[in-house]
Amino acid sequence: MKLFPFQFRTLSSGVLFSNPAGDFFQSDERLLGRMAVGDLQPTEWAFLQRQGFACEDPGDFYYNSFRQRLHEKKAIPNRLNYIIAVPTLRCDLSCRYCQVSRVGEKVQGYDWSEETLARFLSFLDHLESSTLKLEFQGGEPILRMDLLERIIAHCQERFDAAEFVICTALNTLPNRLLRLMAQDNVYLSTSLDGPSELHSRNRTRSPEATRRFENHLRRLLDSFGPERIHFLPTVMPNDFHRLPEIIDAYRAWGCDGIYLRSASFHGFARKQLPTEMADQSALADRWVAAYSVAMEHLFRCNTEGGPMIREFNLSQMLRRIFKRSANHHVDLRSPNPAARDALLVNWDGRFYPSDEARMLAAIGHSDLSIGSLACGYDQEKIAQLNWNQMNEVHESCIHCVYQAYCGIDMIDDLARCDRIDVPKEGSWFCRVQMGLFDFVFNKLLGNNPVDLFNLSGHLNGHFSHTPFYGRFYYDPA
Amino acid sequence: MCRVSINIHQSFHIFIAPALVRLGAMCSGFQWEEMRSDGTLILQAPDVTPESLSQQFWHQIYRERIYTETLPIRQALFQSFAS
Repeated sequence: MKLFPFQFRTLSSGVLFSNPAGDFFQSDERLLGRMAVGDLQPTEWAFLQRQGFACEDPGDFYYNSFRQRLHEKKAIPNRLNYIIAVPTLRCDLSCRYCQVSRVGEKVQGYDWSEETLARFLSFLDHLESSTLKLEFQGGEPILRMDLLERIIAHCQERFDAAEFVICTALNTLPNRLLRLMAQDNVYLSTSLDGPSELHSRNRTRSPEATRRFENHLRRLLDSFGPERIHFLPTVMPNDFHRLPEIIDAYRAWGCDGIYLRSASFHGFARKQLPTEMADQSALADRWVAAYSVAMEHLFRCNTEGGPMIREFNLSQMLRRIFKRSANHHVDLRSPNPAARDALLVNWDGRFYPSDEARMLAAIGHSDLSIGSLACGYDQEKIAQLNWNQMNEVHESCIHCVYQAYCGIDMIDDLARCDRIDVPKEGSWFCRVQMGLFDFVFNKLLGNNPVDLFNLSGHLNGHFSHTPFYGRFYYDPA
Repeated sequence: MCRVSINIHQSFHIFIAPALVRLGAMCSGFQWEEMRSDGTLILQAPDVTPESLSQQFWHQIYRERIYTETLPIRQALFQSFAS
């Protein structure tokens, strides 16, 4: 009998074991000790074989099954079908934690030209994919409704299936936007920081402007429903303790989802928030603690009835744990190759691997552009990025029990540490993900009915007390 | 100037040279002496604590070792999405 590579970590309820294919189970130190020296009983070998941690010989059923699961776990979609387009950098707001290099509403020279638009449409025409998700970011993209209308009309013809997400601060609500929304594959995403006074402080800077925003949001929700209108908060470090309050505000709006998101350290936020962002480890720990408290609150609310709310981070983590092919979310996958299935096209026609990458370029930190509409892909730069986008071979990740579920974020390391070869353990990304995965697995292994009810809802959309997974506990007694 | 003495097991000796070069690039004023026959290396750097200097050195040694040992996996994964 042979053991496959495995990782382990002690949690509150026992020792968690996982392998690179994403299989896992719980036991205790006695089994771990025997696995370490290969001194296992026949019943233990049989259990490990069933759980996907061992085989009799290379080439047998268990060996080939492990290989297949590993292949599925690492398979990244190979067709570009998710594009973030930034048709303008101009914006009519100036938020406290704005990440991008926005420019004023009246400034000229920061919109797509006719030439850039033509190149973008031609670029879309040459994609191999027959489906597309196109997200419009800014600046404030609805300042250029004409561009949005032309691009969407083109894509409706070009692709078999397309979805469009317009990310807007909703400082205005033009009739042209409402007409565009009449197409049922057009979605709107906006920011709502929670209670009105918090939103005013962070974004609009005035109660009147917040009321105007809230009127726009209410009108959109009434017209198109929460399934077409998405909103998410950005939470400042000083407001971490207010997460339950923010969740309550979202419930009051009648929404069924929330993406709890800390203010980031990218782009201009880096310059605006230096003191609050200084100690990344401590800040990450504070975020994890606040997130845990908030999720307890959300779980309680969901079991008390009313509209169920799902939190995006938790859903993504559960998908990574239980759905082997959940490899679409670039913030939580490995390998995480650039420009393979997702790409950002900036206001100047340059390509970036992600929104965060263009923000580093915007403040003159690092030029992570990987080509342009005019010149095509910069394959050498893409290769350089991709060489480091694998947690499977990262010195800090290879022994981590969450490696198979986690991602890798070189750009975040660059933004926060100015280099990518620092020990991951002290980084924001690692500390947050470790903390959040600890939270998830403690809940999974704790067998608390309230927790399992909520985990079920977050994984598959059906809040149910019926267990959604099989037995994964081994008692070596 | 901080000065630390580190004893390095023989199995790590082949990773010492690249680790020292990386530390030299990262740590201004970093210096080292020829390794002694007993496997002891003397490192020196200004404006750093002995704990931090040792930690940085061990991280670089470990990093080089993992990079070397996992290189075939890195190449295979890279090829899988480069094609």
